[in-house]
Amino acid sequence: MVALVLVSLLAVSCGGGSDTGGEAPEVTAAAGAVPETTAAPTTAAAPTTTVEGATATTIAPTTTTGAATATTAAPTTTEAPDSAPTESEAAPETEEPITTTSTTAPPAEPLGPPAPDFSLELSTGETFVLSQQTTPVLIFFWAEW
Amino acid sequence: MAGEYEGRVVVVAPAWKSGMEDTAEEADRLLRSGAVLWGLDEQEEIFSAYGVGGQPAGAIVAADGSLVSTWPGPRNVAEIRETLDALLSGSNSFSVDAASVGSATLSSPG
Repeated sequence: MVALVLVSLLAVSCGGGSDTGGEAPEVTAAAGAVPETTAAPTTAAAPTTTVEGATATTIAPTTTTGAATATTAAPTTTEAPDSAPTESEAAPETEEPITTTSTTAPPAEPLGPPAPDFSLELSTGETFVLSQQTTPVLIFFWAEW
Repeated sequence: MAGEYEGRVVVVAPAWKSGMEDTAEEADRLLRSGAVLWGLDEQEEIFSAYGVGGQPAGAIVAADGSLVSTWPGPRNVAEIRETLDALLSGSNSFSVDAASVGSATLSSPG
């Protein structure tokens, strides 16, 4: 009796399996379709991303070139210091007004009325000229008598 | 005094026209210093320009050519020294007492 029950159970399990066996491939197919569907976007996305990455990489050098250009422009800006020394060279020229000021300083207010200029033939044979003197002059008027 | 200021002040002594020999003897006696430059004002041009009508007389000219002091007759050496020292020190504190040039204000009984 037990054996009959076992045999009938086996028979039922084998027969049901054949009934749902048609659905199984569907599930398998569904599983296989999943990779197909996912594969499409995945594969497409991958190269796209790679291209984008390459593009980005290409852009990067461009940006780097831009940076290089900027670096090239930097020396141009560094040339400004070159012109700066030129300005510093011009600085001494701006000191000229100071020299001019010192030049205009000597003509100070005279201490008195201008002394009459004269020349005198000296006993030594030389000629004395008052206006050629650079030191104070003491004039002593005298006569032998 | 000329020797004292030698190199810093020029002392020049125009002499009233006279015989050169006599003047030279008198110059040796009176001036007694090689630091004094002297010569004959034969045309009286210098005496006239400074209004000197008699001797002695004197004048002090600053380095810038300004006439800062004139006087007829003898003058105290201390006063002359004071003016010269002020000029050499660059001080303008002294008073200019130059008489009107060209007039006879430097005349003195000489």
